[in-house]
Amino acid sequence: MIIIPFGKEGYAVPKPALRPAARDRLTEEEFFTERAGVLASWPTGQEADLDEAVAWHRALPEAKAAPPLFRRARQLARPLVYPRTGVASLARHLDDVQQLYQAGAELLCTHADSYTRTRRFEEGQRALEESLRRDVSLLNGVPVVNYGARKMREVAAVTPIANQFRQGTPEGRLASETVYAAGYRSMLGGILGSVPHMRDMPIGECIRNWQYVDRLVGEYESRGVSLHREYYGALMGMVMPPSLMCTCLVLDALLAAQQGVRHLSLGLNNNLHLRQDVAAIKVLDRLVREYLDRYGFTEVEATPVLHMWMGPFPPEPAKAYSLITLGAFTAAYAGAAGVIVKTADEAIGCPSTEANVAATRLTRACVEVAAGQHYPDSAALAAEMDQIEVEARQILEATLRLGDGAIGPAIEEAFAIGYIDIPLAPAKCNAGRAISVRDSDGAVRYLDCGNIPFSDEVKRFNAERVRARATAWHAEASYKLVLHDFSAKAFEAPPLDLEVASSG
Amino acid sequence: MADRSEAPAGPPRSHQAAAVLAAATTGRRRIVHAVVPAGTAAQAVRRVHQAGSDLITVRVSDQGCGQAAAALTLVADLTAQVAELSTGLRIDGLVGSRFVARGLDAGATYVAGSPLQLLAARRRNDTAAVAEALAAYAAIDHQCARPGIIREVSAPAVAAPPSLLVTHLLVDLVLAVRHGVRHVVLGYPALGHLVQDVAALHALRALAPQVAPELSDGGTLNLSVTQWSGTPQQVPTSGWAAAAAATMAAGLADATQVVVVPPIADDPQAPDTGLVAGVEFTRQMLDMLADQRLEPSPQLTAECSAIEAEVRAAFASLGSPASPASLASLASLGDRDITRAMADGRLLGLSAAARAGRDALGAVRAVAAGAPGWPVWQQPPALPSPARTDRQGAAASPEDSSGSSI
Repeated sequence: MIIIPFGKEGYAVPKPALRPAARDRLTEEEFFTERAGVLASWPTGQEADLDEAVAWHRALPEAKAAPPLFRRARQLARPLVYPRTGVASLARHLDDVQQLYQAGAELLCTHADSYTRTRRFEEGQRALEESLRRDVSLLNGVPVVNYGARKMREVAAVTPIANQFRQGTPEGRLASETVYAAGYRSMLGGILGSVPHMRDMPIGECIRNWQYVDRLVGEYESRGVSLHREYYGALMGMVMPPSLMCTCLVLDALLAAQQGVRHLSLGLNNNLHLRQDVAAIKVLDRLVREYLDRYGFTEVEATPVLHMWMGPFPPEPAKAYSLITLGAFTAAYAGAAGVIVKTADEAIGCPSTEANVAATRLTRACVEVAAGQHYPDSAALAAEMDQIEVEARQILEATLRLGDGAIGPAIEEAFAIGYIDIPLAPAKCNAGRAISVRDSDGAVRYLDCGNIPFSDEVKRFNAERVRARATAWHAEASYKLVLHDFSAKAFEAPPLDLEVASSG
Repeated sequence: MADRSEAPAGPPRSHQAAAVLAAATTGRRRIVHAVVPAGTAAQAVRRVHQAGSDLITVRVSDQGCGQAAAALTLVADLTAQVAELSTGLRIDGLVGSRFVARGLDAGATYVAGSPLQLLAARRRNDTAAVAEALAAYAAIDHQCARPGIIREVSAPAVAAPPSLLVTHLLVDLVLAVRHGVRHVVLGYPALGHLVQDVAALHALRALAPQVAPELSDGGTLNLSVTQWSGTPQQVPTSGWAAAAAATMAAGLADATQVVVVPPIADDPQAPDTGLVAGVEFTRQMLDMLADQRLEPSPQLTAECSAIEAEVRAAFASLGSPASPASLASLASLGDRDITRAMADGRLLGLSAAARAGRDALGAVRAVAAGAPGWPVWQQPPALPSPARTDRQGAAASPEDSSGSSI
């Protein structure tokens, strides 16, 4: 372990990555050398022939392209509705995807199973075979690597619109090769969003893995195939400070653009505070454009999207619908380019097809009710945007001064010294000192800023807002508030106090 | 205006709507109000209450077919058996004031229903019908002048511009106050446009004291949002979406309560299924928004000003061209003046010429006036928008954007 002295107490960080973050775009030699190893790591890897894949993409109709979808959504200020699904059987998955398309899904998503996300392909193979034998899915997603690119082409061949593959993992290189070779036009997964999904991997290695994936997309781009990438802002299952999510997503965008990605979406977590969520989406849109331009990536398209609430869901479907609709309206009012759909099954486990179809229809209905509407510009909205932007800029500027000017290494260093610190993320590379909590009107603030490089003014603002809640709730400004926010009953207003009303 | 009302002699305080409304205005929890048919079993209502409803009204549309007796029995049973549940009557038809008196004796502390709403629902505006409705509800209002009884008046369930709905509510308010009512809930039917709905609620807050100054002396005024108005939902998802939009507006405008419209049809085997789901949904949404408000903004202010200006213009049309009526003079209008205004289409907007539609930003506007004097919105060209149906052809939008009859 290395102890980095900082302030009064040093704190431990794991040993440096064996494959640290690259300083710049991977060279052809670096990329193709690495690629040979990636493709050789599982037999189906050999199916990802780049030339053949490019020809396959070119043969697919224009209606299946992803970048125009997001472009149009931005122009209309009307979010694309996309649910997530995935089961072991590809035939069943295709049936599910078709049903979701019929229900109004505008981007068809394939979710990776846990074995694929953790590269346990042998176990995935056994679970796949057992699932097919028993005609029941023992996997929580599609084992795309086990199927291989040729088989997975059935998805792109039979579905009428663009497909997206989604994987929350620090190591998705082979899965990415597989789905892009299969004709998928979009893929979710990124560096900073992976931190909640990993434990032992050094952050440098995680960065390096995703640099490879983005370089792969850049390779397709250079061969005339426009692919789309989506990143998500450290989606812990709890309230996340918007400034931290914006920071992570801007850094993800810069790293992606550096490797040649030209079309990307950045996913924020819906914290269920309408004004703050709208503010976060608007700030992200502005910041990512500014930083992409500053680094010379002026031609890169970036659109903000919103993930519905990632925290605990109530078990009652009607209550779950309440969270789903609030997310849908928030995305629409903010002008997000997309909204990722949750279902009423969230409290139970993987969604059934029926629950997914119902949630997709519901989200579409909300987007249509909200058509033409936007959250009104106000002094309060502007103040919230300013706060998010000031906080995000302070982290971004401090981070980008590290790494001798190279973005990847800068992020590695930022994690090591706690400039980037994802609240409650279990990864060893994460400092784990920053804690987020709701304030007195439900907006998300920092209970503890850890070593995030905030000015005294920002720290004071957060402390005051949290203290205001503690006072209103007759509680300490402590972790107990965090525990409350974490619970499924976090939103239950206290019962009516008829005695107070009577005597008051 | 005071928050509280004097206690009636009837049920214990925990069963009184006045106490529930007062508690909601002082705490973080807002009221989820459920409506049940007269024949509902008390056990089913208990489930609705357990799902999160604080106040339940029993719907009665006429006194025949045993409905009235069933309603009175249910009110009495609920008052006796279900702790901390306030009960009331929701009058959807022409019922006698004696029935209402018996309901209040049985434990009801809340009475909903209004003549303008009834006439709009029945699409009647002939002089005889209007006079009959006004007389019937005047008698009900007299019963509700008892201490501590809450009287809800609601705007018609039609897709109309908010100014028209606010106008109706203010007329209803004046009529109720004229007959002695001092504790009023104004029931606004949401239109699904966040800013416009919040603005309408703000306009009601601002205008109501001007037309009913009597309430400032020990009376109470609360705002309520009904989750949907207009045509029934064709697919359940549209119902949920409409309920969400309405409940968001209510929460962000700090309305005291939301009246639940079940977004899904009831299961015949479990007649309270849809209502329980609607209550759970509404409870969750209101609780999530408990500390959030839609802050002042130029758009909100402009919408609010527009609604207030249109309401004043509508009231002006109630007078003569030589002496247009004002908000202040509304109280002096006799029942006959109001009857005439309703009969000639100035008030209820029942004229076939009256049409509403959504503008490019989704707000509901009057695109054709029902009568001379009513303001008409100059609709800008609509922006292109994607198809409003899903791929199976089910209507996913709760309203036709091309304009609907008011």
